[in-house]
Amino acid sequence: MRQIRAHLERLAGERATGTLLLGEDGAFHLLDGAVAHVETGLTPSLRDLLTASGRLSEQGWERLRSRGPGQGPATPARLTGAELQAHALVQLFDAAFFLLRSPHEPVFHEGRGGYWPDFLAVDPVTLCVETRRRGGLLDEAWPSPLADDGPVEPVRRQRRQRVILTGLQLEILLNADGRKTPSGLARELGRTRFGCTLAVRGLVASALVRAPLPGAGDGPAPGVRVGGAPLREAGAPPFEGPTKWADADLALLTRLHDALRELE
Amino acid sequence: MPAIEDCLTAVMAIPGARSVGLVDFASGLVIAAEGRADGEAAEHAAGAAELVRAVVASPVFSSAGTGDEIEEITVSGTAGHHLLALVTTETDTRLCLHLALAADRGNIALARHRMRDVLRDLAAG
Repeated sequence: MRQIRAHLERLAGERATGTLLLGEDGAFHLLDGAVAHVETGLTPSLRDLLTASGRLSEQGWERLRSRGPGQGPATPARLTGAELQAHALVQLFDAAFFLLRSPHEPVFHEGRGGYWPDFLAVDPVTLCVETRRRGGLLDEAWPSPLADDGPVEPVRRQRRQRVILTGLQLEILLNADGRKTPSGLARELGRTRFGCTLAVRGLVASALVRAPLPGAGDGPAPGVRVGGAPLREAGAPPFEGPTKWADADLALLTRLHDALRELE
Repeated sequence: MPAIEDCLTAVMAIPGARSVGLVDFASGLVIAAEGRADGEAAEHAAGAAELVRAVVASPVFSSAGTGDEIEEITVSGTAGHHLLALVTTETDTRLCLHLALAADRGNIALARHRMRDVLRDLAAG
């Protein structure tokens, strides 16, 4: 994120117009140094958000593209200018959140690309501040990215008498089949990927979705650790240290956490 | 695209209005604001979104057995009021209009009425 952010800020200073390409992940389109559009396959597009959610039909979307908002007969199926503006902005921030994490080397090409809608202009600093704030929201829900990209697997049984869910969490549980990822569910439901990721982290925290094991998929899975005790070699002599651990210093952990966040 | 600015201007015309922000409360993103500095607007939006999410998530604030939709939240202080009017759309964009009203010049009933008008225009104009 740091490198892409530095690029965006430099381009903002130069009031550059062009495309900052991030490999196959997507691109930031800049107009006079401001981010006007974020193109990426990582998150649902504006079309996905509006049509998959049922807000617009395919024809409604085509009409919006060709004639602009607020045109045609006044039916609930018509999108107003304000709604379009709000959705476009929400989509831009959603796309930027995931594109800013792209590991690809940013490459800048001058010249205005073709994109729509073209009325947005977001300051890169605002974009990065918002992205960081959203990262904080995710960590508050469940402080691990393990559940973000893997399939969402709801638990089969649970013992509580009562569970409180948000509407989006319910949608995710109803539509998850053990194979779909948060990003796939977002596209299918016409929701933002960030919203789905946040909801899934909440579901993992409340043990309604199975928590993925660390390292699943890449490399051998680490041994099971009950209670988070340190791993020991099999056959190592029994541990003879103090039998009581010191209490965790919360203030120190918070400071350490904040310091690590600053390094991002 | 002056559509959202028009809405905010209409809300700022309410007697006693100090500031107004349009917030996506699903994420806490400020979509547009008037009457505040930029950094402050983002902070207000994040705070307002947190309050709205807390109220929406709690069954305590439901007024019907089957649960109802929250339309408005009012926070009243000695110096002023905060009115939060919610619009839930079919998409992920959950909008909330946050109006800060001065206690001595504003009238909550009038402001509520005018805010609902603005929200109707926002969704259907």
